[in-house]
Amino acid sequence: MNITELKVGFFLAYRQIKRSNFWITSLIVLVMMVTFLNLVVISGILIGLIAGSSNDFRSHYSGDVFIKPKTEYKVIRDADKIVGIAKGLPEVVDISTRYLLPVSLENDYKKELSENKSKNISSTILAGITPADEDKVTGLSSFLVEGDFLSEDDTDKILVGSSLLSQYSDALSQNTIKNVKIGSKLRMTIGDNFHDVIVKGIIKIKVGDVSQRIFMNKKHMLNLIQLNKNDASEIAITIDPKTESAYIKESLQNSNIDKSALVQTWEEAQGKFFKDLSSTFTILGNVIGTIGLVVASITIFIVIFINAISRKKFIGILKGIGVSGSTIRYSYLFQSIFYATIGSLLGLMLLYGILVPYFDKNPIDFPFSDGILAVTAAGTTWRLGLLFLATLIAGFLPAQIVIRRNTLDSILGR
Amino acid sequence: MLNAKNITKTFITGEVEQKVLKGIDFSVEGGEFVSIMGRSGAGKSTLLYILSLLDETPSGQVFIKNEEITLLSGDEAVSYRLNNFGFVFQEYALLPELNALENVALPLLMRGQKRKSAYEIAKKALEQVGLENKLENFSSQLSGGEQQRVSIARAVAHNPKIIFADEPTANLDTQRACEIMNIFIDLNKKGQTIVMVTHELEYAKATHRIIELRDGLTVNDRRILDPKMLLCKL
Repeated sequence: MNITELKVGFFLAYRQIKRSNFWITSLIVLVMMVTFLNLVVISGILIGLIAGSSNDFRSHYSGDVFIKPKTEYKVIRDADKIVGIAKGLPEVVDISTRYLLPVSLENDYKKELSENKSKNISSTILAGITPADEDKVTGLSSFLVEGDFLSEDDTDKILVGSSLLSQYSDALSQNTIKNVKIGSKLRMTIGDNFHDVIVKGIIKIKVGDVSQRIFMNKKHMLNLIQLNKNDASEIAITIDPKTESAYIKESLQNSNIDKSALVQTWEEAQGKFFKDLSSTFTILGNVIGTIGLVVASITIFIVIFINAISRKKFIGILKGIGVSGSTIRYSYLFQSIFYATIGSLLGLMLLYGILVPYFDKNPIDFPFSDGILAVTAAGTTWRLGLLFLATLIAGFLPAQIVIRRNTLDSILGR
Repeated sequence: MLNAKNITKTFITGEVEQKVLKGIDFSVEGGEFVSIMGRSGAGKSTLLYILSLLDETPSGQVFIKNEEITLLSGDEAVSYRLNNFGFVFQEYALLPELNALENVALPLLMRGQKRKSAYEIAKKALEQVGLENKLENFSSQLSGGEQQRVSIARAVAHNPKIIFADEPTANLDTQRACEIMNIFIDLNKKGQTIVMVTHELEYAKATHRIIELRDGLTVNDRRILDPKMLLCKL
């Protein structure tokens, strides 16, 4: 590589851009910016769709570390001991234990039913919680759409997930109860026993494991049925954001906790389906991004090719006065780099200055999650690199085609 | 200085072959000002392109100081032109995105000159052709005569062995053409070797030698005994 050729190539590129038509340059830069955004945003939204769902699962259900019974056990034994050990870890912030029971919930149970009418009833999971603890871990109270949150003194009050209520579900949804309002008295059946409970609040959240449940004060739940108060069905733990979930998982596993407990990181708790879905959407995003990249490369190729063809005579003159082919190639490469750099910089500014903060504050309202714009520095850098490479090739090829023409033919326009 | 041997050129269009040059031999001494004349289609410009290595598909041999330059490959020919030749085109051939100073400085920059010194030399070359007040002007802001002066300044700035000029006055009015010719005569008086294609006998008579072509052959090669500066009307 000859430094003089590079310098003169840069000089020619700079002068050509400086003297080029403002609107044409703006159009090329705009194409580059849109291409960059297409590469990053489309895949970001697709991945963000799953990431949003995954984040919600972690923030509003599993916590950072999640403990559940191993497959062969119904409950976690010695939950109090596990909670005690967890509390002893300085990185642990909050803990919520839940006791789950399958129940059925019935409205209008006092009404006599005509022959062709079915009961206004739904099967669901009752989660016994300590309201304050649960709220700290999952922020459950922030998802109240009607009524109030549970207090420590509530006995027969429940919170109902909106997916169980017909007015919050679409017409095709099965297993919903009609006409439930705040204050409605419902019949809750646990095994052979039933209890009347009053709806205190309605929770609406896109995490299915939460919106299809009802919640009750765990203290009162233990009074209703004979349960071992040291047992739990789920333990959700939040930790210091700087700490890895895997580290807490390992610490708990090394603390001789009961063999019935299965400790998982939040990622493990989401299961393979989530991971597969995320991979699928990543592939989809990459496919769409690649198509965008190819389209952009062709666009840049056409733009540079038209530019080079229309300047064929001047390229001939450059060669005629002794400017080498390499120098002319460098000038076109520098022009391509200029378009890619300005387009990408504008794209980055738009992305991190407007789009990411906007979607963080206003997630896209997808049916099963609040979609965010999932962009990582590494992913963005990788796509930037791809765009630059494509631009360089798309800029180099047309310049090469024109430079290889006979000098005299170029000058004389033959 | 320059020695051309058996230069031939054939243009092929479809199945039609047209032999434009049919074996030209001549030489140019250092410091000579030679004009090549002939009717339209006589092969004047074609010969000039071959001598200056702009035509990359010649037949025959061209020697500069006993070095056969027709053997040079594409990139070598470009480099040779840069270091040894200056070329003045009929239609000026200035780069529109560069101003006058930058147009002249470009070959100097290509030769590895520092920017400051390249611009100083370019400025002097432009002063030499009377354009000291138009250094920053772009070609669109210059008249035809001024553009041709920039083109001459670009051709001479790097002290080439030979300047080739292809009908440099063809697009200019009489007054401007006369001024351009005087610039060439002046350069030649300072020792510059020049080979010029022209169809104007008046201008050819201001050179040392006239080579006349007809139907691809040299039909006349005569010396002018007393070439003079032209008197341009004001």
